[in-house]
Amino acid sequence: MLHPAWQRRAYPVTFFTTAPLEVLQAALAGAEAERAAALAAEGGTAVPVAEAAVVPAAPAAGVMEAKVAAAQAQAQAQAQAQAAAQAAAAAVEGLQLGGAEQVCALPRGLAKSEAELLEIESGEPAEGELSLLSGDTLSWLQGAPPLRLRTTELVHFDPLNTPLLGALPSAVRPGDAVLYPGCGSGLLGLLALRTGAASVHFTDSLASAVDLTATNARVAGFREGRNWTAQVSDSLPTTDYRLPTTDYRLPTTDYRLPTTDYRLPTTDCSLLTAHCSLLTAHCSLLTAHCSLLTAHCSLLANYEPR
Amino acid sequence: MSDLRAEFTDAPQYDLLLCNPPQLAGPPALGVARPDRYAGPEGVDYYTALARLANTALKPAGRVALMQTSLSSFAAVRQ
Repeated sequence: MLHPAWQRRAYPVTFFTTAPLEVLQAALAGAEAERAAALAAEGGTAVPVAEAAVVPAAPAAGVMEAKVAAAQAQAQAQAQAQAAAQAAAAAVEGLQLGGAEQVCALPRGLAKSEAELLEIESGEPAEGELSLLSGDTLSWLQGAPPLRLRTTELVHFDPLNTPLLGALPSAVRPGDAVLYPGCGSGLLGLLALRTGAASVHFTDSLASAVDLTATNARVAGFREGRNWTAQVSDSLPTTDYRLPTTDYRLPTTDYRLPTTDYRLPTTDCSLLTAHCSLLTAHCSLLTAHCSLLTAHCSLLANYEPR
Repeated sequence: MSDLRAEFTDAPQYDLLLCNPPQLAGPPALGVARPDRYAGPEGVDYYTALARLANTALKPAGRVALMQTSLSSFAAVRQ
């Protein structure tokens, strides 16, 4: 696939699509041809853009035909729109965010970890590690020691978010105290420290992520307590929203559910009939309860503090 | 384990709120499958929380750096 911003560069994708496999493969082949042409124009060598690791669902016979036609038409329209966008991007060169060399590799097969998703052209990909060494977007990191992070299957960095890394130098100011919720492997916070932040407070709901971040921060040479702190937080930061308290009181009713001291009869049908009557009466009372509660809800919904 | 809110009862102390928020939108069942990425039906739950967090945790003129992708609803985030 072509990156929506970078246009001519490939980036890893996961397809959530109901399109038939042939349509998907045709789109990939088109993207591949475009990229090969672009590379040839630059004097480079074309490499395969993607291997589609798709597990197609079995389509119902006959049902998919219309969808295939629609998807093909849509793919054609998208290709045209993409070509127009490419032309526009080429006309306004300044809008290009840069190359994607640092995240160029597409997953071969079903990627399970960050390290499998990311492959560094200028270095050897390491199992369970994410290395950020080069690339136009991260050119501001060049010359600095490589930052190597441990990652796990539960802690991802989505390559789609690479532009955020590129934006860090303009987002972080020297001496900043940074709060980094949802820190994962700690990547953004550690890069913030690299760009001049004074301190970063990492939090994550996953204890394993906080541990991972702490390990990565220590390995990167940042001083715990001074440069960074890390803490597990229970959940998303939640709101302190409360129901407005008022002097409103639920109307108390003086009725009570009838208590019965009867026992289930085992033999007598007439008693069963009596039971049914009692149960029906109970139901009526419960229905009345429900009406009262509904009325309460309406009052609460329309309540305006005085 | 501590509640994140408890950390910010004092005066705001941060210059920058940095986040790569979960923003996967979809049915709640998706949250069971991918709790690390799921952010409610419109993918904006974390944004809402971050906005409130920014109010309590950031100093005046504090900044927020995050990235939104098309996984979440742009209209809902703007709102």
